[in-house]
Amino acid sequence: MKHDIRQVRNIGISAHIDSGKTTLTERILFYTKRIHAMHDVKGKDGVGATMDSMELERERGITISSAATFCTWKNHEINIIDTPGHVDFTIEVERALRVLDGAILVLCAVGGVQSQSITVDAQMKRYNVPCVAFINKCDRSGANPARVVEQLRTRLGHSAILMQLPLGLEANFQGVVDLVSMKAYYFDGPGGEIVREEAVPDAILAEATARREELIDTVSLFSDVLTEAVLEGRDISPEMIREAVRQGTVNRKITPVFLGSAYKNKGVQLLLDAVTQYLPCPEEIENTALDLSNGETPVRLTSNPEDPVVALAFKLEDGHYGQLTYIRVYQGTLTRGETVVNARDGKKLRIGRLVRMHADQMEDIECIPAGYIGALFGLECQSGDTFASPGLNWAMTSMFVPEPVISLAIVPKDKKSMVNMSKALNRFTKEDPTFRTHLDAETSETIIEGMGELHLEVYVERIRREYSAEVTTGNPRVAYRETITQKAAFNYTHRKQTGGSGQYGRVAGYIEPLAEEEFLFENKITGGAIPTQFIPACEKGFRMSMGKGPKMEFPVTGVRVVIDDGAFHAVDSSDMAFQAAARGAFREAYLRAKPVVLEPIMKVVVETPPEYQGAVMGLLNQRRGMIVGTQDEGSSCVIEAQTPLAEMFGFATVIRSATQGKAQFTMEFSAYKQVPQSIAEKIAEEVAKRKKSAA
Amino acid sequence: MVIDLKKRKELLLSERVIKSESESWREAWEEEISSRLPAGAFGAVLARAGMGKTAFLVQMALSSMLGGEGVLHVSLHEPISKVTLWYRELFEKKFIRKPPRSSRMLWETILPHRFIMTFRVDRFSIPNLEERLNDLIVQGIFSPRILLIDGWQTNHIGEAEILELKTFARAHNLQVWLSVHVHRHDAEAGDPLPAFLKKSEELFDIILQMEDRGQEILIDPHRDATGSLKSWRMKMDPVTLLITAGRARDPVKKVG
Repeated sequence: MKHDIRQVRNIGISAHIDSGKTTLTERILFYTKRIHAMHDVKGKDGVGATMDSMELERERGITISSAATFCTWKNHEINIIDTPGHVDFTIEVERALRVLDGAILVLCAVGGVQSQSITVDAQMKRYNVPCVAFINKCDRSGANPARVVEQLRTRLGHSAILMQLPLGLEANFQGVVDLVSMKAYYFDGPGGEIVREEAVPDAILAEATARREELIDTVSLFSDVLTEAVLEGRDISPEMIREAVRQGTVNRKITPVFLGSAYKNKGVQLLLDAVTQYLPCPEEIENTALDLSNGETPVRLTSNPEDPVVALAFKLEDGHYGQLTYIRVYQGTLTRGETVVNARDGKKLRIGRLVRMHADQMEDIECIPAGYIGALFGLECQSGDTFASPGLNWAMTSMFVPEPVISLAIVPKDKKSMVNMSKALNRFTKEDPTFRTHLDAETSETIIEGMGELHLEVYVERIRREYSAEVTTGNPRVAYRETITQKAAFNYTHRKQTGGSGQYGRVAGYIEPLAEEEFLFENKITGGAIPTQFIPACEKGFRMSMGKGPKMEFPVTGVRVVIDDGAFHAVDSSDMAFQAAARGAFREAYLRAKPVVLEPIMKVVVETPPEYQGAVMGLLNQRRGMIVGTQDEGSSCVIEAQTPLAEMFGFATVIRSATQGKAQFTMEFSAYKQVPQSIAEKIAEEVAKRKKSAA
Repeated sequence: MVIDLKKRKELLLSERVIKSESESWREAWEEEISSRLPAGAFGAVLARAGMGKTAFLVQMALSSMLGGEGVLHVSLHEPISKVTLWYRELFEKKFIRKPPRSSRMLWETILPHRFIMTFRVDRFSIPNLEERLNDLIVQGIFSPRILLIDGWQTNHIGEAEILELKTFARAHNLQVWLSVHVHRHDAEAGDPLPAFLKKSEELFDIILQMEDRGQEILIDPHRDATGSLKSWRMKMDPVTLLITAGRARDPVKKVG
């Protein structure tokens, strides 16, 4: 294993569903000689693409977990994380971006910048990931790369620069003209593996020259050498342009755009060249950790393989030989047999077998130096854990984890299924922080929670297939919340004198709505009305009450509690007594504070041919959706709406039949909003019914 | 006799004897302009690029939304996300001094009164817009009172288009506001009116012209058939893009 960090690229491939990113990855693996035959996502040969290693992914034609793989191209080592394209699996995309140094943003030459591309782009911005764009499917009818570049500029705000011109389009797509070297490239052989370089055809020469001028003009901002050469009228070498493009890309100032068709094996090798030329190596990216023993102050990591090791576990998988942990080393070298500390719980761990992953095959290695991605076996940990050398109490910045919005009751059929199901749930909750599980105390049912219908559906399917557990599921349930809408005072005394030692505590104050936070407790007691040692007990009592609202037993959010008076008894007051007093006080004030039920509202974006626009708007309107607007894109139309999650169950089927399968939609959590009165009454009825049946 | 206060309030509101809570957030000048423009009336705001035409339109829209009137915002140069951002930012700036909770509730209340449509410049036409609007009206999704058209390029507008728009506006009882881009060379030559406006000036009830004065942007009436602007002096703060207006004789008051 060579260890020149400048020759390493950790990249992700992010895109809208169905833009062909798995096909593109498959081609990359073929050209880098990691695989010897190419298969398609929904292949007729029944093999499926190499990166879609889960059976379920092959069946549905979508990528679910991001398999990490490694390949080499022109002396560069490239680690690729194939990321899922569906919004429900966004945590996977976010995690992948967290450990990457660069990304390829795949766009469809026909569909252009679609709703999911906007989400993915926002995530890339959050983690400052530089990217190159690849406009795929240039062979498709309706392909229009110029329009996609324009959309990159207007919709995503990228300073997108075309690095190539297409030679023909749609069925006539033959190859590309590279504007840097001013050469035409064609892709021969059955798999497009022979790259033929020729002079630019005369018909396109004038346009290519003009575009090259534009390119130089734009990128000269990033290179003094290039600017001087332009001003002095000297010859401009391809290296000068490449260096300027590289500077612009690494600093996220520009997005170079490449063209091709992965399915027709065109343009992929040039994209690989671009990855090595324009995307940064791990050394060029500044990574920081948080020093836990110093008030979480950020510490810059060095990427020096000789320094103490700092590594992040970003993905867990249940392999044949136990838990497989995907890891990125940020500093130092992780070596077999070494002892590291898990920053989350301070436990010491010994590194066992280290491997380099290629989808579901692996190769053993001795060490993983800084900047590299690998995997290790036999380590009990959770996704997002940081491993550091003993003595370093550092953690990588925690990842943003959204709260689940939907839940489902899941019941195993027999005892064997129950054992297998709990194994599966234990695994999945470790792998995916947005997937949670708990036992409902009233119904004794196991409840799983997640980010959307498809998210939970996939996990239920995995429980059935991978763990052979026979399970049945209940109807999906929306994660409602409660909040208060006005200020209400409390003055509650908890007194108990029924044998044994007595209990006494009085708390007085008020609760009021809180806009930005979930819960805030303020102690404004003066003169020792409640002794200081009982204040934490009061806070605990109020906090516990937030878990289950007195109105409909949904979790309560957005409450500020202020206590300003109280009383205690020298003998009978205790932590328990004040906790009980706080709970009583909360109950007392809560109903007077006009509580309301909140429901998750989803941002729904539907992309449909214009002829179905009216029908789709009607469907959204029926679902209590508020249509924000419509965007006319010529051949398609985008409708954006804010719709309650409760109304969106089964929407995929409904929209498919209403538009003959021509519309597609994405849905992501937007905000919690108050439920209308009529719906709140229905929810109350349901809750009452459920309670009755549980009893 | 028992007085049902709730019913009485509803009655007074319907007869406009009292104002609803959200309506009371409107400025006097906003109400005056809006009330004097009948259905089918046209308003236009003229300015050079980047001066704040969109900000002006969005503030007119916000005012109408506060008055409970539906606004159809048609943008020919910005995607939905950017248009919504304009509204969000100007709303926040305008009501920055109000308590966060009440301004948030107000925002939630007025949002259903807005519908955004974006078109590509080359695909925008009045029949196309009418088809889309009929989709909304027939299904009871949205029924606007105000139509804003932002980014309609002057070289795409002729007298015929304006007449077509007028017929459309009358048929649907719409007040229409247009943003009109004035080219630098025209402005410098002292002739800010584009050709289509010169020919159809009488179809417009209000034509406002924005003029950069360094520290402030003046909004002067070029034409005012309603007479509502006589008593107001309007200007825009180039930093916040908020419109400020004061009685013509009074010193200028800051709004918001």
